[in-house]
Amino acid sequence: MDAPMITDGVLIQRYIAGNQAAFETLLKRHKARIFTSIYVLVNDRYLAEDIFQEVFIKVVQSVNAGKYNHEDKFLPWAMRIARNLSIDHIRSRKRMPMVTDSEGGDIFDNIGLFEKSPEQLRIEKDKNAHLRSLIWKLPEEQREVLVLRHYADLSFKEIAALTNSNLNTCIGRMHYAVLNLRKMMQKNAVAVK
Amino acid sequence: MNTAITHSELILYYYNECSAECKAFIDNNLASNPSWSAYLEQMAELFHEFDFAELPHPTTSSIILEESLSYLPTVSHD
Repeated sequence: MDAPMITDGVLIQRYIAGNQAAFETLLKRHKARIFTSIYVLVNDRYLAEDIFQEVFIKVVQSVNAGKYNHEDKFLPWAMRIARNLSIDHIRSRKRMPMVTDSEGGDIFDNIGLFEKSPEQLRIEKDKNAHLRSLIWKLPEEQREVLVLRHYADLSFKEIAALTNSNLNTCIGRMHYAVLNLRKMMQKNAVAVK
Repeated sequence: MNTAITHSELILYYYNECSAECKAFIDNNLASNPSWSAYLEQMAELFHEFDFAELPHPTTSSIILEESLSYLPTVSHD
């Protein structure tokens, strides 16, 4: 039988009590969801790295200032910070100069995935970049709901609360996001079997 | 329950967020409503295609962990 998972609220309490490993667990648990969401929202890896770091620095500061009162609703709270920062950055586009490798690619895309062959990495990188570019073509409201539901794994109720929108509006945006993405996939001849 | 199922209800069903009553109704009538199953299959196919995850660079995580550590009381070995 699997041991019950320690909740986010308990991890935060343990961290405040001086347990650094608890914070590491929290970061490890949520980093893929939060980072992927930010990356898809801003469609820029450097900016996503900056925003992700900023989100967790704010998390650390808020928790240590005794301002965290969301118990086990850590993800919606962190995603609210991530979403607001992403919107701010999209609007101002304070972009760092891109550091490229010898082939003009983004060097960050080649780091940390050494278990895959270069060919596998290239195919995956191209495919993900293409998919992100399709999502980026959606109207902002549709893109936001899709990212928050699909990548951040928030419920539609949580998304409605986070975006100050009506629940049905959020679901409607998801419906149109699905229709638009399918149209784009068909137009771009990407196989949706 | 009203027999008219909307796209919104199908989306909630897909994400396991619809009411128990709605879920039971869709489960029981899915086989006889090909348009519902077609819509759900389209969603599943699309999201399978879009199912990717990215990770931050290890340096970014290290900076965050250093910051989180800096707030913790220093352990005295006296």
